[in-house]
Amino acid sequence: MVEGRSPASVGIQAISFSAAPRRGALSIIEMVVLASCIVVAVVVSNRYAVDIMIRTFLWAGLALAWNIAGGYAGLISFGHAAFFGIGAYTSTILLLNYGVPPWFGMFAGTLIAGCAGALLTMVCARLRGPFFILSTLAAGEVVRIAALNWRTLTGGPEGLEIPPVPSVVDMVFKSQWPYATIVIAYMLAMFALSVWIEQTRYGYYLFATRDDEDGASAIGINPRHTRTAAMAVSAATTAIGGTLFAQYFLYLDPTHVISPDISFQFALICAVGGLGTASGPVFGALIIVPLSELLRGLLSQSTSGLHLVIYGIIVIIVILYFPSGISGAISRAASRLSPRAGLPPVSNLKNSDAES
Amino acid sequence: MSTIVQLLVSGIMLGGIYAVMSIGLTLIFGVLKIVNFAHGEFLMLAMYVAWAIVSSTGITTYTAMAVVTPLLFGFGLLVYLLIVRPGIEKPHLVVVFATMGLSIAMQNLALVAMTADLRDVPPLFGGAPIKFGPLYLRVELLLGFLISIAITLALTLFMKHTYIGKAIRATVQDRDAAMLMGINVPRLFLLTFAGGSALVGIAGCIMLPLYSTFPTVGLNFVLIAYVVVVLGGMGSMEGAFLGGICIGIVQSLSGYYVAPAYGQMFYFLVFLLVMVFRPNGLLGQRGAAMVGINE
Repeated sequence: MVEGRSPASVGIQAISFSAAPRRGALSIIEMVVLASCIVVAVVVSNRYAVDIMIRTFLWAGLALAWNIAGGYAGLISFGHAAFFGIGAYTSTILLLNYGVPPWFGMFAGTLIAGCAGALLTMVCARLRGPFFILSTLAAGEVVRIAALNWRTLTGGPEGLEIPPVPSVVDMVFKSQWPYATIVIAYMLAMFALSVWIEQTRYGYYLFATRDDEDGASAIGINPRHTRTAAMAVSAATTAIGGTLFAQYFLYLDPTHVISPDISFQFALICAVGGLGTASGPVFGALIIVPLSELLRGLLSQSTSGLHLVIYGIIVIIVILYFPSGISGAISRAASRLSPRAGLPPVSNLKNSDAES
Repeated sequence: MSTIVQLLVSGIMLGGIYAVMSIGLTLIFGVLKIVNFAHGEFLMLAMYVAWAIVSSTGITTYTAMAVVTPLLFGFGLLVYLLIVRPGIEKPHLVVVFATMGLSIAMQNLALVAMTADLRDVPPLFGGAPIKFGPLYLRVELLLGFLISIAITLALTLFMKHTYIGKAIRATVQDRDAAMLMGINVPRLFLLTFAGGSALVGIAGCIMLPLYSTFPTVGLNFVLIAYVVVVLGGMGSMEGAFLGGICIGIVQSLSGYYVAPAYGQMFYFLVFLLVMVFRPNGLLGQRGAAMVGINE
């Protein structure tokens, strides 16, 4: 059982590797799935369905942001809730104390979170595998405890409340549709960014650094810069999601916004959907978020928490039996249907599902 | 002056208790090269089982240990066979995420079964502290510390003098070489995982009288355990003991001199500093953190 762990194949790298140039086939499937979700929500058009849709797309965008570090760069972070919280708190504090509209405030959060992400990666530059994971977890906790105790700035455990007065400038709306539009735009932007990263030289730098650091530096890539940039972009885009979260729920407190559970959720959505792909986090969110919301709705009468038990079990099964996630399973099915379209490039076969 | 001594002593004792909970984690990490993210939930399970035994039969948690420890051993066996073994040949993130899923499931199962209420056991001797000269000590803390020292000593001897112990140390150092020397590594994995879980069972029993148990109790303590394990060097038992005592002292001093709320922040900062300046921990394997050990 141990024989399979040849040094080259086991590392901090992602569970699946369907990165590198994308073919058209998968994007069409994705678009159809996404469009049908929106159509369903529009047709059903009750508050609950639209609420689930908004949450789903917000989480999809956030998972895509996490995936830039966790999937593409192999920097598995369990401290992303800190960046999420920084985004949410910065824009909210600017709005409440200085009247800065969140439209601009979110860029302040982006900047701070980006710097924090870069700093974290520089500090932990030498760490690999579980050491890196645990360091990010600790960093996230430091931010959470700071937010919990810095009462004058964050309101401490009581949290901050954004007054529910509808105003376009303050990004507070009465109807759900503006939120839905913003969140979908966020997700699409993150998706576009992910696809762009996959296709640029920088993306190849990331994959090379993730898969073989020594090899990458031998051909002239600076692994440290590549990693730092990936984490900074990931943190900055996560912070935007944090602002959107704050504006939609209009309430923030450290225990819910900066908890490790949030970071785990980012990671698990990506893992279930397929790490290191642009479509994975979207599929993961499309399955996990509505599922846990619906289970919560169905089971809440009987007992609270049961939906998360089922959720945990689903996560275990998917991870163990579909380690390349849903998007990996779909692309395999697609390549079986049309052998040419979904075939991974030869250079990538080494790392593909044969091993994982 | 006596305040400082009092704080140091209770810090050291607290640290001993942290050490027991961390030794299981560090053993599993050293041998299997995986981080069990459900470790805290194992502790939660142990504390609930101990609580159930104590509150239904009226015996002390220290007696209940005789039941809880084998039970956790069996649970560890089960988890290893169902979740860890299918994932261990795959990239290590599979195990990370699978144990994380297990942690979510267990936490919420506890919430469903036991509700979010705090459960605790009645204190020994009516909760009166023991007095040593100017020092006051809680009986449970002292007992827990003594048990943790006994456990660490017993384990150290076990590691030095038995075949399994030597095999475990060999596997920690170099898995491939150990296998070539005829050590049944897969069996050792099973044994270590179950044994590490049994240690969590002991930890749960000595922690129950000091803290109440609730569904998310594991998260609090598992974070401490990670800090302790990293501080001591992953895979090093003596390191875990030392790390536990460091964290105990940091917590008790910062809790008194700064503010209890910031106590946690201090040990996470200590953790990050160790990670930056001495990433292999105090007594860890050289270069371990740089290669993530399992590469």
